[in-house]
Amino acid sequence: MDRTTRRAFRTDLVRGVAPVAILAITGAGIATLFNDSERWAGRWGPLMEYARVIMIVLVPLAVAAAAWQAGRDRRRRTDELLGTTPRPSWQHVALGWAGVTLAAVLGLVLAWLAGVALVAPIATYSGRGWWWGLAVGALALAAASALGTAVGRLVPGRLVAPLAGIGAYVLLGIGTYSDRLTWLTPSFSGATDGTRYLPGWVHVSQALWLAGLAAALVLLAAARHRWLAAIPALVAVTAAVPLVATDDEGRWRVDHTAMAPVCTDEGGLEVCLARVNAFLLDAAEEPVREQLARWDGVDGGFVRAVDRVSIDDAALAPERTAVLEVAHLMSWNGEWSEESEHGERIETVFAQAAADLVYRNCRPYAGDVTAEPAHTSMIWAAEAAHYWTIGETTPLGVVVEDGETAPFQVLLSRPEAEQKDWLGRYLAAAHTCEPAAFDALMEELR
Amino acid sequence: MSTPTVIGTHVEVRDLVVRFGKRTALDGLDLTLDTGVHGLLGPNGAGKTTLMRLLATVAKPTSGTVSLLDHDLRDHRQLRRVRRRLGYLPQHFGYYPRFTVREFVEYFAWLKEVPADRVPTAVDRAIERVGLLDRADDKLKKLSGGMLRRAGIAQAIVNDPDILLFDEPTAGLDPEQRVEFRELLRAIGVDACVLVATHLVEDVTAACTDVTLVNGGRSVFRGTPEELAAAADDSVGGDSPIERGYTTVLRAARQG
Ligand SMILES: Nc1ncnc2c1ncn2[C@@H]1O[C@H](COP(=O)(O)OP(=O)(O)O)[C@@H](O)[C@H]1O
Ligand SMILES: [Mg+2]
Repeated sequence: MDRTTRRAFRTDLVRGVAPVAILAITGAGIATLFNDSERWAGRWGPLMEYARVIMIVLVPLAVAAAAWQAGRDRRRRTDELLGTTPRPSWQHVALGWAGVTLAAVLGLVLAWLAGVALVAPIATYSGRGWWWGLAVGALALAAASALGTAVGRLVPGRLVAPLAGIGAYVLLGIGTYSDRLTWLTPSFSGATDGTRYLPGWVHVSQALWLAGLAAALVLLAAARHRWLAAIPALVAVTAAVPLVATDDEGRWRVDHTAMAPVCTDEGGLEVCLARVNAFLLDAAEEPVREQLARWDGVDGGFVRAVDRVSIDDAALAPERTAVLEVAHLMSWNGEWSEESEHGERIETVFAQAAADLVYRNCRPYAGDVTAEPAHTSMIWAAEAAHYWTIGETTPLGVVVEDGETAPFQVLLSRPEAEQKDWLGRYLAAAHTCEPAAFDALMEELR
Repeated sequence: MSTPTVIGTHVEVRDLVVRFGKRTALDGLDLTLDTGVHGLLGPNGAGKTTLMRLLATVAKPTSGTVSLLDHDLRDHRQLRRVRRRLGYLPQHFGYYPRFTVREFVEYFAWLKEVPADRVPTAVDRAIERVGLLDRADDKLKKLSGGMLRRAGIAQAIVNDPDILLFDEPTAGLDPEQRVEFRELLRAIGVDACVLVATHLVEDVTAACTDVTLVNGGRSVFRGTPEELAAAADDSVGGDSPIERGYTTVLRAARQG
């Protein structure tokens, strides 16, 4: 690129739609990214995935900006003058496309960098291959800008830019609803818990698909020989085939390094978090250990708590292990939250682990939660254990009719030794899954 | 600054016909032009703009041939070479209001493929020649109508064209600016072919070495301004001899 081309690019950039596009895309990016920051704070992989979730907003903005930029020659009636100049018109069009692309990518990177502020200082796992996902996001914006450029050049009218943006939004929305087509859209429908990653071939295929699409659209918008667009279009379609041909299952791979437990052990009570969540360990250690201590003296009581994310299958968790949804207690900035916005506390998370033993081992709903449970006493017993763990006689949200006493209230009113004896037998029943054992447990709490 | 790059004929138009549907805008027009300042005079609707757009290579004829700088415009590579040597100020001049004068002229230097090492000087010189140097860093939207025209002229001359096409260039210029513009035309006309389309007779008198009068898509007179003035019939009205000549020739053409 010679000096004059650089100057022309600079002029197009600073005098065109780019400054507004940078502001809009950075602003919208940060607003949408931080709307759900607890899903990615402290974790590189989920930060990238969430940056791809918000593509559903960034891509339409880039499409609209590029369509506006490409409509400029028609709005300003400079086509006449441009038609007498020797420089091939694709170069002039490419300059506008490159400017909007640069602006959009800058917007994405700035929003991502804002996210980095909640990841880099605390992250305990560097993640795997997420940078490819970010690069694909940048390519998606290049393709979005190419789409806008083609539409803005080929279709007249001032409303074309906003309409193209809305159209892109609708297309992406439809795309993400389909298990297969979603892999052709750059936007993810959600972020993982940080223990999954996409294999290289997915990133490469998406990159080729989007780059091919971008090149085809730019050529279509301005090349003297429009048929040239068929070449990159062929690359795009070829790359798209494996993306839609295989289905969703198994596309995400398990990252065993992210899952590897990081543990602390004190006085025989062990607390383990997955490496990807290990930045919470210092803060989690004490409250979790307090919960474990309540089970001291319960036959077969919990002596270990592990992050759900650190094990492949909770059913395979070692004996006497509480499997905790630690991520529920992650706050917006990646710190341990005493109480989440959904009302989760360590007590409620632990209570869920105590009840889950029954659901996991005995499957009272036989896999169908809408069916009547085979043994209602199993459910009641699990619930009693749940509320015993929370440890409040009148917990929030539980309605007990006047004059009646719920089973867990009966349990909590007993002497401590009796409570622990009951819980020991609850744990034993959760192993054998004998209906009679649960019937007997509930009989005691009448 | 510029050395003449053309030895042959600058503009050669043979039997040119342009139709828009049923309407015939150019009807078998012949025209040959070399260096100098040429006036293209004619009433509104005579076909001046249509001819200018053809010479500017933005439109194609229905039939007939256009040859510029002895190049065949149907050949893509020759067309591109011709365009590098063209300057054009359209009748309806579109521009980017947020560009500064310098940015705008520079942008067209890029579009006209002026060699990068020559661009900074060429841009400065073009802006200087139209007298906008003191406003070079102002945005176009801040300029008056006359200044905008001059910015348009600057983009047209930035590549030192061999063929320069001005379509109604004095529209929006005040009398003083018109005088300056005619001086500029004379300077450029020394070694380039300048064609000025206008419906204002006085533009032609002052600056042009010869005049072509078009009417109804045909050339009805070709000669010097003096010859046009000499054609005047004393019975027709008009403020100057050349105006009377213009009216006389037009009337004769309409009757014939
Ligand atoms: N794009 C067009 N479509 C239809 N008719 C046109 C078009 N351009 C010019 N004309 C017609 O061609 C004739 C010549 O117009 P034009 O070249 O603009 O004349 P001038 O510039 O001398 O005033 C007029 O009758 C005009 O209405
Ligand atoms: Mg005209």
